[in-house]
Amino acid sequence: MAFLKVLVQRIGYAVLLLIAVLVLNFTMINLAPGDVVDTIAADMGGANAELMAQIRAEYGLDQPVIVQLGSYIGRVLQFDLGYSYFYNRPVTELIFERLPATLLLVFSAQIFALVLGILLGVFAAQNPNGPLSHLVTLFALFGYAAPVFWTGILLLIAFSLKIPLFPVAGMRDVTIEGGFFPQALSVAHHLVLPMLTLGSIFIALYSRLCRASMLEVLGSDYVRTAKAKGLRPRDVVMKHALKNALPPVVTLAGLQFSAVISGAVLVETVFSWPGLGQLALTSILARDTPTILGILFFSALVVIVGNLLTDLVLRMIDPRVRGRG
Amino acid sequence: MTDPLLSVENLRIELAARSGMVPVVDDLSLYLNAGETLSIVGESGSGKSMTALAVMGLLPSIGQIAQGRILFEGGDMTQMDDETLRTIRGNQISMIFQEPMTSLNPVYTVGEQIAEVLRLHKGLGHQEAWARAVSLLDDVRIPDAKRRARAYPHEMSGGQRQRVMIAMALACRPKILIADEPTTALDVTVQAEIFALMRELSRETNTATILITHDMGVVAEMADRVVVMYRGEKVEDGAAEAVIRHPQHPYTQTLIASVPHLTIEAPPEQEPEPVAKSDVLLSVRDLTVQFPVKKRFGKREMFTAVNGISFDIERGKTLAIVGESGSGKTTAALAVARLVDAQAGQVTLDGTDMLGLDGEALRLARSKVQVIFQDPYSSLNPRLRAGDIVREPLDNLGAFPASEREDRVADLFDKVGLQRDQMRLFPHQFSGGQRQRISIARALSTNPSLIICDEAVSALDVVIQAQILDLLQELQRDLDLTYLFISHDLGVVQQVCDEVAVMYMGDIVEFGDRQSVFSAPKQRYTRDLLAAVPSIERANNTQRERQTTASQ
Repeated sequence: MAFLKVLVQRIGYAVLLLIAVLVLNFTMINLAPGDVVDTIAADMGGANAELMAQIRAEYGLDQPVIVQLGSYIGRVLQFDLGYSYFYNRPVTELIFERLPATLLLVFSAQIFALVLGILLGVFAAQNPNGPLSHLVTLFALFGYAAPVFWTGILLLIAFSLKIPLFPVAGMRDVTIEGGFFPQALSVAHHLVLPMLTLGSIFIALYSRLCRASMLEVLGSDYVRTAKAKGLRPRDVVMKHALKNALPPVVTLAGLQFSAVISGAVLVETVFSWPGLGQLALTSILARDTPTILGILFFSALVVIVGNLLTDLVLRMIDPRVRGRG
Repeated sequence: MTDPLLSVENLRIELAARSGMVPVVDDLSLYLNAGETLSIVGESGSGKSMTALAVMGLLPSIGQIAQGRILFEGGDMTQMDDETLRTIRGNQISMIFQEPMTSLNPVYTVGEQIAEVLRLHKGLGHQEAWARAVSLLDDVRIPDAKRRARAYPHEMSGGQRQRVMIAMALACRPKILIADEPTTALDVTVQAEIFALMRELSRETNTATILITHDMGVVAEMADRVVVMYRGEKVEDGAAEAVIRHPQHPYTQTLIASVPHLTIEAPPEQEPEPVAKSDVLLSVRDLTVQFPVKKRFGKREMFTAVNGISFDIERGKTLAIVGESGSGKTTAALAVARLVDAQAGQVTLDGTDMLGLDGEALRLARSKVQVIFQDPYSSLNPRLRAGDIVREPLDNLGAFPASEREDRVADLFDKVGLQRDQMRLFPHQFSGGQRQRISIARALSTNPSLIICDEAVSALDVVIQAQILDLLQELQRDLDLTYLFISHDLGVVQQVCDEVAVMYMGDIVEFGDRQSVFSAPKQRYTRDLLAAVPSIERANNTQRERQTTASQ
């Protein structure tokens, strides 16, 4: 019951937050100079002021900003994100076409970085000054410091061109026929390199934090108790220490969701991954305001959902958080 | 005579330090027979806990056994591999630790933590182990054990957590139980319950116990034999009663002499007339402190920590507030010092209405009340030099002309028995007792009219404790200081106070001068509190009684 209550409460907050995000996004986009009509005019090779005013009136762009904002929020609440002038299609349709690809990339990179980061952190904490621990640190920092597009291109050269293990671009092999299973396999095959690239940035963060957190926990009284019970070292570390060391790492992972999404934009470009990132890039260049707003809205939604998940995972790990509600 | 269950022979333990390996235990030999209770006594740093950890094979990674043998049932534990040691640890020899608040894993239920031991050593299945864990919790008197087994450590009190630790340690019916200061962090009444429980369970299961403590009163009540350690070496051992009555080594004599024991006072000849106090320095009326606590469904409720208490302190006297943790004694004192906000009441210090002050007036008024806190390790800023710590209140409150401050600080160092050249050192370069002297110097710096000692000696070893108490009393005589002395230790309180207020759940349940409260307590709670204090005299009496009944 307490759990349900918390869930409802958190979802309530999330909705309020989303509305705030809508207002903010809309304001910022309107602060930027130029609109879609300028782009259309440029594409046509120039237009007179009269024609441009006419097009603006057609799209409602001549209304005061506050009115535009009101009608925008009203439409979004009915799941209508508007119409893309550039693609000539409803924004919702555009986004839903690409959202699954981005979600797949973001979540798999996040999970990959978490699992590997935590394992490396646990491993490094066993012998904090040993050569292997330093190697982990070095490797992790390298992943963090290298620009993501550079890592991506390097991986492409290494594992697609020199050793052709993985495909160069795209999300699935269009020549593959058949049911769900072969299709999924093909997607997974395409996913490996983008996921590694995007995850590599975050492995450093997670493994460093996990190492520090583990070191602290390993020195605690209850770990001594666990040893005094006669438990095997593996149980002491993986059962008694790790669960206590996780909360800071999970919290950080939650905060990093936004960074993962911005990283995804670059990775999608490098690997021609058909996700929101590519769409974002083209619509920004085209001043396609409704699409940009739609993408921002969904990015915010993903971040909020990610944080909600983080909260729930934390509650699962730590009973003391549960008590607080 | 049969071989002892455990014998430690010529044990030498070394710790890695910057200067190389430093011995913390040297040439220690001791033995433990089946079913008996051996007490290892000594101050912090004497090597008693290291000895226990060495027996468990749990020395910190910077420590090692450099020499000697630890024989358990004839096998040398220092030569065993980890695999064999693990079958002994928690099974044949188990241990309970000093800090019940942190020794249990916060993310598993207490039932699981006990059941885990049984699954590991006894090969029980999940259900059997759980059922057994519940019955163990029942054995250690956790009420409603079946339901409480599903509780997490943070949902239990300190005393209950230590009971869980005992249940966990006794789960596999070990031959030896090592208890390292198991009650130091607990209230006296809880301590008495825990000891009674340990005595009863170890008798039932014929478990031999090694009890590590710094408290001679505890030794007198619990131990058959005692080993006294000082700076890593054994200085004396023998039957507990003999050692306590006729200590041979000077250190043992100091140790016994410094125990702040309760002396039996003659009751006052007649009820003291309630005389009107002439020179009241601090007057507290109907002081109430409440804290908001979040309850279910977001309703805010108030928890009343201090429930409308009133008392007066005369200039130059000491009032002690005693009580167990959660009684509100510290909160009351901090409210007087305006470190915690009071919801209602009046506090008048030397004619000033303390609760009415705010902003700059309050800041300046702080020069009149200073606090000496419990933990000298965490209450001093580690980045400031000792001299600056003492000087800061002077600069901050402008108590003395700037030109005199340097001399003032040096003077204070003299007063509290520190060297002037120590002013340049940092807190970590001092011992616990010396740090508390720094705290005292800091508290004295602004010439306050009231000094609040919040468990000021509780964290110190008995010998150091006695020195600090002497210092406080000397300063009181010389400087005509007034103390509000907060403590849970009745022995200490009896030594320093003129009047006592006993607090229980936010109320003052008994108030009076020292003599009448200690010799003729009126309230049942006060009597319980006094009875729970481990005392050498009382233990001797009961032992003598036991012997007389046995010989009859």
